[in-house]
Amino acid sequence: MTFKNETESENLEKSGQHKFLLNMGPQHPSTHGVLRLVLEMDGEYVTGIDPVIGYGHRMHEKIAEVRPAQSFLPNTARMDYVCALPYNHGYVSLLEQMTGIEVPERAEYIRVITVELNRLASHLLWLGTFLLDLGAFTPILYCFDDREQILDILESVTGSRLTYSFHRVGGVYKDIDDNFIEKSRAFIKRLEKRFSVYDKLVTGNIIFRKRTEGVGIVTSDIARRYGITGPNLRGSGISYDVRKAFPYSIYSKFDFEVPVGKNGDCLDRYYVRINEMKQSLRILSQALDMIPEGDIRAKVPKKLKIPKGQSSFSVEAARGELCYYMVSDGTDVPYRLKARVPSYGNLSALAEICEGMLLADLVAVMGSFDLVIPEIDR
Amino acid sequence: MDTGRVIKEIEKISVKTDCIHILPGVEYECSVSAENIRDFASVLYKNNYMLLYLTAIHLEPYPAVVYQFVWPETKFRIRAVVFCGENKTVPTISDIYNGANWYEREVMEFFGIDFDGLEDKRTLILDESDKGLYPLLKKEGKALDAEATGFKTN
Amino acid sequence: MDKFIENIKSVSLRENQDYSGQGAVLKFAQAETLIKHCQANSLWPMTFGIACCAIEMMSVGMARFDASRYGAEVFRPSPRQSDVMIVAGTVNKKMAETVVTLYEQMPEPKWVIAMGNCAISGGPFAIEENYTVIEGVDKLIPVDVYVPGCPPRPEALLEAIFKLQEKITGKRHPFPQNRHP
Repeated sequence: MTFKNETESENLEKSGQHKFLLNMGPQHPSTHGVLRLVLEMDGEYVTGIDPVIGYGHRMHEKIAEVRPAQSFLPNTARMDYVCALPYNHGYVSLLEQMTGIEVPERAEYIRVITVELNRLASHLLWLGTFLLDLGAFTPILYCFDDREQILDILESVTGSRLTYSFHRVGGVYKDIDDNFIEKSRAFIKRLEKRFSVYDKLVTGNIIFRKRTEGVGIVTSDIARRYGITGPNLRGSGISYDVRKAFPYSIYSKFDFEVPVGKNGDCLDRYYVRINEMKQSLRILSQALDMIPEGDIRAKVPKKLKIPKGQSSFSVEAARGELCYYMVSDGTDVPYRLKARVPSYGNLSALAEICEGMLLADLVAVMGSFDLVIPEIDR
Repeated sequence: MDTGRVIKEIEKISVKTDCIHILPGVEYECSVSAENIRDFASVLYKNNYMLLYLTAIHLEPYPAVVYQFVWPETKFRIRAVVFCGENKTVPTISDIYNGANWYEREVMEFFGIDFDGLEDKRTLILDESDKGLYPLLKKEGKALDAEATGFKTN
Repeated sequence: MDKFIENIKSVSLRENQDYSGQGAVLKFAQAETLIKHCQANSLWPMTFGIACCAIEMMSVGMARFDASRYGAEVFRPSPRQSDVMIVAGTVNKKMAETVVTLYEQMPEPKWVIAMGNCAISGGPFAIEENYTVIEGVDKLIPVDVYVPGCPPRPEALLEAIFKLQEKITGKRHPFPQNRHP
């Protein structure tokens, strides 16, 4: 395009005629599922973002209203399939809280051990895909190698690789044996050594640092206005982890820290997740040492009647705070179940955070947010 | 900041209700009228609270909208229940908490509750062709009375 | 729901065409066998993860299961460059149009693997109150291989690739397949 004089070009620029719309998704490798972004672009710069969600809507909340509360358990694992066990955990804890069922201590330990293993698997998957988004292919092979070890351990007790229904109301499905404990201990040793590999491979890399330092800054005000939780919130320096803030299950017995970042950029979110993995290992090794003998499941009636009323229960999933809210009318079928999923709040802030940045940086920010789209759509 | 002061402030515009299932010392449940919900949200926003979620429940005679707030630093949760009036309309809080925008749009398409002052009224999750379907509404005659599910209406 | 699917299909340009691929008028038997073997041993799947099964699809491409042993590791993000579409997840009303579009953008010859119960029949979401999930992706596009499971194990997807190779060439992949990795 040629312009008669400079002012015309400036006027065009001011009137926004250089802008164009760019469709990204729903089938795009860096949207991690079926997210669609309608981007308003000015050259290489993103001037406006409109996320379009709902391509993975599977009516989980509707299903919860039409079948007995215990039969909904498999659905909870399919909301966030990358880190399914916290979803199991939150749901059964909510039912236990409402019906007043006491859980044997051994069962709680098994729950914490499996949840933390699952959290590690989720963070490893995130690490791989995040770096894949940034253009580094090698780390994902290492991450999946470690992740498969975790899946092997979990499979030996849960019988599934991905979508577990392992936690049951009143306890867990199956007891862990010495073999499980031995393998878990061996895995802890293995992963502790691997951190230095990841560190050498990733942290010092100049390309990685240039693409993450100072990119996609989440201030505490944005986090509060949009309800960002989990590692994305902790990257901004706010130490809010449901495991510490409202200790549920037996988390108050363990000695662990909540890693926080400083600036709230992509690099901080990376550090927070890496440190969180180290803390998960700490919880794991303590739990494996402290686990008592005993029953793994309390007696639960087959038809579980939930007393009338409303209640909510929050757990810390790998992506942030997961909150189930249930209204019951006194029968065994819930009247209403709401699942507050962490990625929902995280994604809704994307438009404000990414306005005015380069398209390539938008991909980096989305990668660092660790989004799981079917969890958002439910 | 102490939670006592916040509770004093919100007690002026809300009525505390007893929660049947409660984790001791963690949750505070109250019922707010539709006119006061914007003031209520502003008070909590000024006191550094975060909106955790917003959802609705199909009840008779009027549906309820439930807000949950949390403050990371004092480890304290507040749940507010608003019963919409006859016209099924609640004022929006999406200009106070921007994150509420998506939640309100979701409630709009799933329950048919209108949010007064909400600018963006496109469908969020459902297909455009499903506008007006309201899938989470109960079948006719199946919706329960508010009292029967443990809510205090007044 | 049926009416919705009809609407989607009527948009489809190739509704009445035979998807199996047109044969040439003049046949070169030897050359065709050769080409088919080449096609079968260099399948390029499209990265089209919709839900849970996508993670297992990723596992297939990674070190342990390593689909590159069978020539199917080059996951392409663009439909124009790929010849196998692995539908890994639940297809709903909003997604249906995209699935059909993507299928049409793929060049001939093309194949479809329906991975997981959702893509086969709607799986756990085929309930009475269903208002959004398409109960089986074969209502929208023709499917060659079905892989059951929720989600299927990576070995199952590998088996699906062998089945597809068998369908293309009439022979099973000659390399050892029974060894667990």
